[in-house]
Amino acid sequence: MLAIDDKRQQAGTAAWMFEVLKGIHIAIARPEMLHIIDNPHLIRIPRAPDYCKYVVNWNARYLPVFSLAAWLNRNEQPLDRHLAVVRYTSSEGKPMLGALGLYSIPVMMHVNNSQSCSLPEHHAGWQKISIACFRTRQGQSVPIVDLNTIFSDGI
Amino acid sequence: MQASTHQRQDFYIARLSMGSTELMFPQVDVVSIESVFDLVKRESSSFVIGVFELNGDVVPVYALTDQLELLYEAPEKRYHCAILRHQSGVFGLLCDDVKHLELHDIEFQSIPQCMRHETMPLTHLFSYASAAGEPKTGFVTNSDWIFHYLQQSITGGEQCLQ
Repeated sequence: MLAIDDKRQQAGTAAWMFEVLKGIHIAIARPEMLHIIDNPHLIRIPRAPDYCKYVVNWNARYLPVFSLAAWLNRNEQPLDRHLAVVRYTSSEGKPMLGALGLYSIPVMMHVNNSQSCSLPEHHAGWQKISIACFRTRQGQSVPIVDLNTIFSDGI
Repeated sequence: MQASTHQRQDFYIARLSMGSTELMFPQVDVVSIESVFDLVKRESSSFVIGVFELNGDVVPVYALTDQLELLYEAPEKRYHCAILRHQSGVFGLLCDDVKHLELHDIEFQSIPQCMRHETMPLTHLFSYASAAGEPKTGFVTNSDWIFHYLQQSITGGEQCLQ
């Protein structure tokens, strides 16, 4: 049994890695992503915050589209070419769906404890939305984000 | 999974068009529809672009862009004014067009949590088909909510355009 656990630990936990802005990546746990939408039809919501000003109609549901690109770098025009449909839990504890804007197609990877590192320093906001961070083989720090925080009203 | 309310009943809605945006009010909020040609225009710094005198009441009138930003002046083509009753009075909102809709089996969905803030003027969204069968999104509000939004915007000032 111990040998199997060791192997599992070495293999790590499956996660999706998203490029949200050119060269800036985040990760979420594998079960949190449900679907990818290419070239989404976005519906602008008047007076919504700049980082979440669209919804997308997916399976007869309006999902909020959160642009981390806009949230991280408000001066730069975000370019969300794809959307990841993700699941989160509302502050009332209800299961919900949302969408994250992506710069490129996500990649699956396995992460283990030995890759743990500190959060990137280029944006103080990472502390607010991240639950952990890991370093890739290429040396990039990738925050693992908390979707419940991102899609809450406290962001 | 989203916060939504199934309403298997008939809904009577007043659709106010402002450019590309259509705001949906409960029909009971609409007191009357007036022509903008009867508006008494006002030079004002308080975003009241004019007034109507109706039954002895002076009704302040406001105009919004299609992104619901307050305007100092009435935009072209806003030929109609919906007079709306809120909790403590009435006010007018200029619009391109007003249509009364009778909708069935609507599923209202709350504005997502991450979009809400103190001055968000919308309460719900819903999906419906236009008369031509085109899919449309209804932006739901009501006169109390919009009046609160107008007051907040006037006080805040930063959301307004000249």
